[in-house]
Amino acid sequence: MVSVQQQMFGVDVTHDGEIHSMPEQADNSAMYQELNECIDVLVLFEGGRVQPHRFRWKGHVHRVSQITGNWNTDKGVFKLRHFALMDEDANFFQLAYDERKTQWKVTRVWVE
Amino acid sequence: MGRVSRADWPAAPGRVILHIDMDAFFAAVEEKLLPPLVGKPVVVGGDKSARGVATTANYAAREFGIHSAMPLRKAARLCPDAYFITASFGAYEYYSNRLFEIFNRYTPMVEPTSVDEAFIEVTGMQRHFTSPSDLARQLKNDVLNTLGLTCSVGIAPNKILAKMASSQHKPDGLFQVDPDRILEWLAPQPVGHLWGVGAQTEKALAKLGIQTIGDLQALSADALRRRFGKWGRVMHNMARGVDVTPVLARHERPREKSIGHEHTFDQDTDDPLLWNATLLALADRVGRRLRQAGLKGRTITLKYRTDDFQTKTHADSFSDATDSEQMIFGTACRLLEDLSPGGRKVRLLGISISKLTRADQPAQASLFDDGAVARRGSVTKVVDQIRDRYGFDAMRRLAAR
Repeated sequence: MVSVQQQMFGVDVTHDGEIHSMPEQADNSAMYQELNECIDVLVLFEGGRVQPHRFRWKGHVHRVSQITGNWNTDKGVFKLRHFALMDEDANFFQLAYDERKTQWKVTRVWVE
Repeated sequence: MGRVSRADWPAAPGRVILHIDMDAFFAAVEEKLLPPLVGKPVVVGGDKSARGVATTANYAAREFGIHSAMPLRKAARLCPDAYFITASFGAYEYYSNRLFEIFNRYTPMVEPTSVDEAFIEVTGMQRHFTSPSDLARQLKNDVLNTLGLTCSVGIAPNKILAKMASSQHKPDGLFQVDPDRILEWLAPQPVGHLWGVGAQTEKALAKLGIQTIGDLQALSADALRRRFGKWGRVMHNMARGVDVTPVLARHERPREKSIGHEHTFDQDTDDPLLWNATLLALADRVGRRLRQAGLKGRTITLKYRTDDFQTKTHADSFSDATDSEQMIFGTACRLLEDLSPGGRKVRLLGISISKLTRADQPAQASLFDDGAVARRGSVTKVVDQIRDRYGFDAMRRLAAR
């Protein structure tokens, strides 16, 4: 796991996978954004399902603590697999995996 | 009325129909996916500076006067701090499918009226539930426990009363109309509570001194028919709680009568090139949906709305049905030229096609066909195949917007 993580996320990731806080949040107000940014994601194949485990966004690694919802949308014969999730800092994200492009994107962000 | 016991199940031929309506469905799904939104005003539809309309507003946003179909900019003025969310139709469809799976566990007699609303006929289910409200409570719990979403349920002997009951007990409501006291329940309600009675009819009724459904009950069917035609007869029946329309399960429903798409411009425009590019894109989508459904249509309707919010439609019919976007586009362009928006800027354009028939029905061959139709058909087939595999956006016409 760690070696894959290091490979995916580079040297800024700690070996224990601790999450880094988000420096952009100077005030206490919540920030909601709709985005379309490619990201690197480490996934788990568990119980016949694929789930994001941790991902890097804006240089920081976020560890997924809860999946709040998932759904698929069709793009021809391929699917976009969407995940709504919360990280360990109680920030909320929505990620989408494009099967055809084998590409992950972050599509929504809510940070406190 | 409301709380009942076993005697609530009517003797035959009495019917028991549930109308189930999810509470602010799209917004509720967004709250489920993004829990910090709970309790905050949420408007689903897009960015607050966009020119679209609100698809849904949650109850916190409704307290500010925001409602569905309200322009987003107006909603932003009413509540600048609301969260404006782009609709995630894929997520709503997913939750809708799971919702209907729950309904179908109770009975196959489920008539969807939208993605988040259905009539369910539960007549004769007294062997499984002590009362209709017991059944409804269990169903509400199933929806809440499975999806984390609330719904409102109306129980009545027919569809119209069931819908009225659910709409008046939102959110998270449950109400059963007592079959023996329908007239009394209806009488004090404003006429606007009747299904299909909108602002215009309300005004017309008010001129006759009719404010409540009880006032309407006092009028004869003839008097209403003289004033409102067939609609008067319908209102007369509704005011008495009479409705015999059946609950139609999905497989019993008639197929769609028309297929259409429309587009609201980011900015009102008087640019004919932009109009045509938009019509081409709309025709492309309409043609694609026709072919996917295995249908062709004979009547093409163009709709446009000018910057003064006047909406006009114009249609043309053909002897041979078509599923060709070229034909649809050409006709729409001609209709727009004929109508001419009168020097005004255009806010919205739409194309629909109706009088649908199955595509495999034989058509009259043209005497003057030079093979162009077949060649275009081949190109369309290839484009369809590419879109089947890679999605609609994989291929776009250069001129289309």
